[in-house]
Amino acid sequence: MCVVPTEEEVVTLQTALQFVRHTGIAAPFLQPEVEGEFIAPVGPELHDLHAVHMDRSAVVLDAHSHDGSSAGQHAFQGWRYRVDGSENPDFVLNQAPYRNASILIAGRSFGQGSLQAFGVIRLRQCGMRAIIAPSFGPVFHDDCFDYGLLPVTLAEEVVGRIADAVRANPEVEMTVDLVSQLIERPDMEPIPFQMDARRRVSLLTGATNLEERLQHGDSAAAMRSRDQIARPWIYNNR
Amino acid sequence: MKRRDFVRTSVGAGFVVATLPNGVLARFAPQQARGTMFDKIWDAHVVANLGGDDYLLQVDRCIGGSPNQLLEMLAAGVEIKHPEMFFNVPDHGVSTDPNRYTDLSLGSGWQQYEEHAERMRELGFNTFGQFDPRYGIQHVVGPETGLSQPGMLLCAGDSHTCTHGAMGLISWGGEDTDLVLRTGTVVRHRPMTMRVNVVGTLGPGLRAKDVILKIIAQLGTDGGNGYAVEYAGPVVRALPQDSRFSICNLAVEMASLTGMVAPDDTTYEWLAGREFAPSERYWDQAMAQWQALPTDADATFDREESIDMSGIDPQVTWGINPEHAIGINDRVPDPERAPAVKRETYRQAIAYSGLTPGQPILGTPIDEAFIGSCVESRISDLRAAAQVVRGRRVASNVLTAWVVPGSNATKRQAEAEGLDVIFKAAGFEWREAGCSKCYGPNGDYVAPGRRCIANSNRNYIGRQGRDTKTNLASTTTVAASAIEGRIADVRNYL
Repeated sequence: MCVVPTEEEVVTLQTALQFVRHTGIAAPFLQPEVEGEFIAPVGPELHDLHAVHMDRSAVVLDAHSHDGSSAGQHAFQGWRYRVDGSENPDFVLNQAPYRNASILIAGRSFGQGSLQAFGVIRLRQCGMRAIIAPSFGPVFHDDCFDYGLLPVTLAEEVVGRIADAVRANPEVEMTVDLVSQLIERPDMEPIPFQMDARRRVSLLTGATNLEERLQHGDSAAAMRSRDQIARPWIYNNR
Repeated sequence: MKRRDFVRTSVGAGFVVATLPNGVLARFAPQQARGTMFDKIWDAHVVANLGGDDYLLQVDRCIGGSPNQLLEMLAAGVEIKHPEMFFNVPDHGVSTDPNRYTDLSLGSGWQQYEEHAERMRELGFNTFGQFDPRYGIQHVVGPETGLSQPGMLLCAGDSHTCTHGAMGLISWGGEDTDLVLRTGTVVRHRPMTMRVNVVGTLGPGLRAKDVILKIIAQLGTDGGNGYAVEYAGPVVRALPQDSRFSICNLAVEMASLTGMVAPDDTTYEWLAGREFAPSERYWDQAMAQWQALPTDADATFDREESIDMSGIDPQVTWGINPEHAIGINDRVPDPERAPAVKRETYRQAIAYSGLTPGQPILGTPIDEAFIGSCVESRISDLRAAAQVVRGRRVASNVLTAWVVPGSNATKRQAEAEGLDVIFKAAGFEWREAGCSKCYGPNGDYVAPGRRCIANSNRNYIGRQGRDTKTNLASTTTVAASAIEGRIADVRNYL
């Protein structure tokens, strides 16, 4: 069972996969049903992700702003650039001040159909820390917790209200706080959000669930032994 | 291939796993479990509840554990207790170019793979490199070698891992396989259960791919979000095993954690005699467990849907996600008349697809045709496509038309039946087995600006290559369209 760490404990941890609270520019990108593959198109551009797969904390070693020259530039590649390679000025993350956004206000089913964790990794690499949307693709949503990206689910109407506030004052920074579970802007009433208790703790501490798995190692081993008797053929079919 | 006469197996009511030595009460005693198939298999794999609906589960099979990953872990002193649980197929990194065995510049990193794979095999892992006669797309190879069996929990990194669920097991992708390698377990939120009853009668010329596209068109790309889906009903029951994989393959395209079909005699007959299937020694014991897996008559699902396939036309997508499927005689929808919640995506789809609202989808000219992928690249799919193209020619406006068998074994079987000769005579390129044009790896992509009709599973913007347009359809609809050079009704070729 999860033990909620004290704020002091989480703040002193400071790992790449941790999320406690974040303040930054928010970008409204309410396009519904954005596929995971729009965020991280499949192709040779994905090759640099090997290091991240080996060590999740490497997800931020490469972090930079949206117009940087390394991996993060591939996030939203198809929207960010036109076919001739030039920047697409219509894409929200190419516009000031959203170019430096670290919070994305997104549309329904964000990250749906997503392929592995590439979309999540790319978002971290281009500096994103939190995504606020009415709903998420299930694989994308799970992956967020593995890579220290906070997915906040709010009613479509509430998401729209936040997007309106952002559009009215795009340069005003916003705070997403996982300790108090509030979204705050000076020009808006604080908005509370819900978060599954276990997942909240995993983000607050930045722990992967490896520890949890190892903790139950004895139970798993005992179960495996029983299974080898009950279903011997799946271990050796001869 | 030796086939056991599974029909003779009798399951006595007294057969329970409780007759095990040492009085061990087996965890895997589905005979005693009640409920849906998903519940029975899930419950049998629970190591621990982690609070709420989060569980630690035992994994029976994991596709992954790349050689690099594995060797680094071994070097770091990690002990991997059950290498036989893992199988590795480098399908995403190997070209399907007919010259791949001689042109070493094709594919990526396979030489290094072979060196490492040798070491993996010594350690007891199942690895199928491109030189292995069993190589192919992982979701074809797993079932084909008998590694995927009813009642298992199987996970992997690749999103179409749900394909294996057609064997009557729980499977999903998006898993970090290094953590599975270390622990033999996964952590997951328990999904709700949904049954999709596929009823009615499927018309001539329609295939499993049409069925699943119709289901997704009706339920939506988000329709299965939060659910594990069991596909059931007379239409699914009547499908051959090959085609059940096609149904489960697209389960993830409706956002469900997994798709499943209950095992039956079709499944057992298909599995018997395969390399990793239970040998004669264990067959009866395995059968007794498998036959207890299907959902009990009195079990309840969190949600039930019934979809009638009577009178549906072959399905083809017009837009940018698999939900955008319409009948071959339908017209491209008008975004302005679409439900408000869909309007924005429809607008984007129209802008991208180059199609005009109201135009018939039938007759839309195509530039490329692709038959392959983990959806429909098995032997029965290739037979059906060969039937359509036999004695005909690919239209001159179709610039490339490929057939990519799902595995080396499928390719050998097809060649033994002379299917390759039929495809080549018709003007198709007969490729080596593996992952291919469905997402543009290793040089297998659609050229920029072109429209491709494909039997694969995703039509996202740029999925098959930059600035390419994809229309998803069944294998035989792709075959017929290649012949006509435009989106065609396969029923004219029966």
